[in-house]
Amino acid sequence: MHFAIFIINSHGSLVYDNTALSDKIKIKSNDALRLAGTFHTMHSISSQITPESAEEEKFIAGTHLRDGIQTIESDSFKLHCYQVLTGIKFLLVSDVSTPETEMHHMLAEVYQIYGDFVSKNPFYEQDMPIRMTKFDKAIEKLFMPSYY
Amino acid sequence: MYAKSISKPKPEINLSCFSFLFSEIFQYLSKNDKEKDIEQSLIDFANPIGERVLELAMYREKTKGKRYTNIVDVLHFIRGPVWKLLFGKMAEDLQQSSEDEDVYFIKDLCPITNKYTCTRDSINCAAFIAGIIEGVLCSIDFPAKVVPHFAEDDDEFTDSTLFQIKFTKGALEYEARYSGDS
Repeated sequence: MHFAIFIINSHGSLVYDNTALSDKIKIKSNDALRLAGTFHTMHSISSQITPESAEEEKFIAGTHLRDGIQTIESDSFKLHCYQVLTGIKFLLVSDVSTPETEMHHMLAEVYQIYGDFVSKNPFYEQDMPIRMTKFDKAIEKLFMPSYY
Repeated sequence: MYAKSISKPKPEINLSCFSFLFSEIFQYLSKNDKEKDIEQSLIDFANPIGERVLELAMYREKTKGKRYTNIVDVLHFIRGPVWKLLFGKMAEDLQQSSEDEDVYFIKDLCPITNKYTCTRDSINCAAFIAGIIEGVLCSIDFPAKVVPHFAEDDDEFTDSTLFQIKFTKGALEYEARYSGDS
């Protein structure tokens, strides 16, 4: 079971959050923004203390993207982070029993939807919050296929 | 690419490529023609494309070089071969307006320009396609004004678009002049 999705842009601000996947998590939008900022910072700290290894490093246009935090596990939830090459982070919060691979797969799907409906949308401005009906619909369809 | 035969149609362009390019075109136009309505800029931008599309579509038609002297024939030509050439399918519907004789509608259920775009302020990106149709009609000597409308439907997220085609007086006269001969 999945609880929430967050999308954080490369500068660390929250561009999309959806906690409506289930009614288990209630979070105010201001708090969500703060959490996104905090996670972004933790992530960059963790990627800086990652020991260097030649294969794992990714150099893209001069930026230095290392993976940093991938998963946070607690007794009641699991958080998975999927950072793409452009520095955008996709976060998924699920319950503990969800396997890692499934979460990763779901986030890859979210990334694909992002590519389709956000990047290709002429009305979207880079790094701005995502408010698009088609994107919302596609996300809903992905996480709640039983409605369709 | 030049070695390919132009008479053998093979419609293969990556949809993603098109979408990204279209998105950039849109942003370029909205930055440059600020005083103009964005739909109008898209129509003007696509007009020359229509002229070229007509050339190619005519060439590929079986009745090569045939002149269209009848409005309904022209519209069927656009709905069929031109639409197939551009999008690989026929347009869903062609109707004449019940109120005005010189107004026609072509309906497309999901124009590719609207596939990934979300509308804001009821701007219809299919204006691009409307511009192509306008270009075709103007080059074929039936000058017309084409306006995209969202088809009214129960589902509010619908993409389906009605292209309202309003022929000018010149087009009607042109038809009247030639209808006697043929």
